[in-house]
Amino acid sequence: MVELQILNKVLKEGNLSLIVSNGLTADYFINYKEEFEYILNHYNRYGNVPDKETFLSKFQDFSLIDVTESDRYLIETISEEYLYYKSVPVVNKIAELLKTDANSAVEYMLSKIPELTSSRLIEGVDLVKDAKLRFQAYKDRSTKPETSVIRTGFAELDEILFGWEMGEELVTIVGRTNQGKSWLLLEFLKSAWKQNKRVGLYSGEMSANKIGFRFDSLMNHFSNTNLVRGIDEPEYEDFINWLSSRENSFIVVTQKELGGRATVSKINSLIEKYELDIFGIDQYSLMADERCSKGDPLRLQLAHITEDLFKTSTRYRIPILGLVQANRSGAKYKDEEGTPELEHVKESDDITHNSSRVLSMRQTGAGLELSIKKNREGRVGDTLTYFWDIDRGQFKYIPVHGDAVHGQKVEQVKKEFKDGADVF
Amino acid sequence: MPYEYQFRRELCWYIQVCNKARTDECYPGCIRYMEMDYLMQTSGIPRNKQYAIKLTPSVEDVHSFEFLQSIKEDIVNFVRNGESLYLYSENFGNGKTSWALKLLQKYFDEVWCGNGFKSRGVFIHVPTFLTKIREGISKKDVEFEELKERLLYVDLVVWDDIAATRLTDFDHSNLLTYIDTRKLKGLSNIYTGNLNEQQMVEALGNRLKSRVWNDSVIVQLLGEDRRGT
Repeated sequence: MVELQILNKVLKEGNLSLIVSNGLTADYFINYKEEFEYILNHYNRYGNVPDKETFLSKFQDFSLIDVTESDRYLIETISEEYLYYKSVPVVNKIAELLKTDANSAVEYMLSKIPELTSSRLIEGVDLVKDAKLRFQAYKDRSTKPETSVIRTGFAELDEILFGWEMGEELVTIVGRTNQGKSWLLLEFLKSAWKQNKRVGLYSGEMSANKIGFRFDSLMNHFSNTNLVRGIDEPEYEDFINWLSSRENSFIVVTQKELGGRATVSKINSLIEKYELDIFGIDQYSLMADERCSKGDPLRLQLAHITEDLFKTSTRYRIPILGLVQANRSGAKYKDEEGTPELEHVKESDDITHNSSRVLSMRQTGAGLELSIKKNREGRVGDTLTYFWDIDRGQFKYIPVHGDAVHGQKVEQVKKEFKDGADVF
Repeated sequence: MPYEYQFRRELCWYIQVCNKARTDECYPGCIRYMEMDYLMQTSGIPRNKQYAIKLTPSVEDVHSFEFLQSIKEDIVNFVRNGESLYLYSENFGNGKTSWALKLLQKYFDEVWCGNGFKSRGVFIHVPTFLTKIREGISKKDVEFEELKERLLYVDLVVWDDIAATRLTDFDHSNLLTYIDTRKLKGLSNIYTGNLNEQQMVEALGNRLKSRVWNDSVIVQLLGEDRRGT
């Protein structure tokens, strides 16, 4: 009935706004698909909704009725009916899968939920009437920044980025093979954990124990080599005892725990289950695309994954940090060439497009060079250099002429070394 | 082997004079050690030549030493202005290479702060370099390829013992390409050798001689071989 009511209202009012502004498509008009398409085609061809006579000459059995219901009622009702129509085959398939494999059934269900929940009434934000909500967000940023951002853990990087945003924040970290991307991601996550955030990490390659040893090195600067080889590290046991008593979790999942590659749905489940505040992914290419059709190229799969991860960030209001490898042309060895550029992101365009921020990294000299290649919230192109003792998980900022924040500190550093004699 | 950072306190260039030596701040995260280590190890200066030695002039070289000292004291501007120096002597062992190294090391000492792990200077023993280029035709050496690339952009290159051996056409063309490119880019060079102007024309040809001799400040050392004294 509601389909008939909507089409009558459109014909009576002679405009399509009810349909267009609420994103209604032919799929919503199960019983009046042909009539809907006729109205739309007529509008596209002649620039107006057909009048009743024209319409009735084509559809002689169509019932013209008076409609007094509000737009809101009509849209909510058709959306609910549409949801029902879309849900039935999904529920049937879930029931079918449940007969043989409950895990597959739940996985299928989770993968379909975003699709089903997206068919809702479209409502905008009124920038004028909702201005006070915005002002509250502004106040929170100045008085309680911990509720709107998570600090990166690198003071100089925070000066540029402010921190990871709580929502609409997919940060992609790009670097070539063996440059320490996983270490850097873990350092960011460790810093979040130290800010009392609940942290999640999907590691597509490393075991939870290996990540645990790295976490310990980053936390307390134990030699990672010693931890991995079981060589005595003073105070390690005390640290472990202290760590075990902490409240906020740091959840690691690998392919072993997930029974295969991570999907966005699985990550969503983890975020809900552990009420996570931030999630790390090592790395996109080790995830599985739930929207993938047979023959889809890797580029498209990664586009789906990163697009869905951005939605996850928006939905749960948490930042998501993910790793991606630079391709061969981004494998820079020469120090004058710097960190990999956006075009060197493997399967590039869509990943960077879907990311709110892109950081590029490489090892240089004794250190780490970090460049901001995309920053939706601010300036790009800044580079920072850090001393990096990978084994003990230590980072120390090194002022460099013309760098992003403290180029002016260079002379100050030089003055710290009061030799009073010419060595050379 | 690609560059790998290693902190070795006893090998620090500043251990005798640094106010942080023998304190908690003498550790692997010392900014000066890290930056200097990168500059030194990527320069191609052998480890045993990375430390300054005291040079005492013969009577006849006092003025030349004073002049070289003045370049050393203003080495940053010398390099910034893209200037070059040809340091030669018909005698051996009277300090040409040591002076060239001293100037390169002093340059590192001036620019390490705020450098951000970039190569700034390279030391090349020319006869060895040319031999390696010839060998490179048949076998690739990644490290040497990187060194060759570095020659094209670092601020300062020391070309030690230029024209010490007879150059083939292939050698000549290689050397000319590198030196020409550096001159075009306004980059600084220090050459050491044993040839005077006329001998250089005969050994290097007019074109290369013009780059090395005519575009450089010329300093001649006259002292006898002082090695082992």
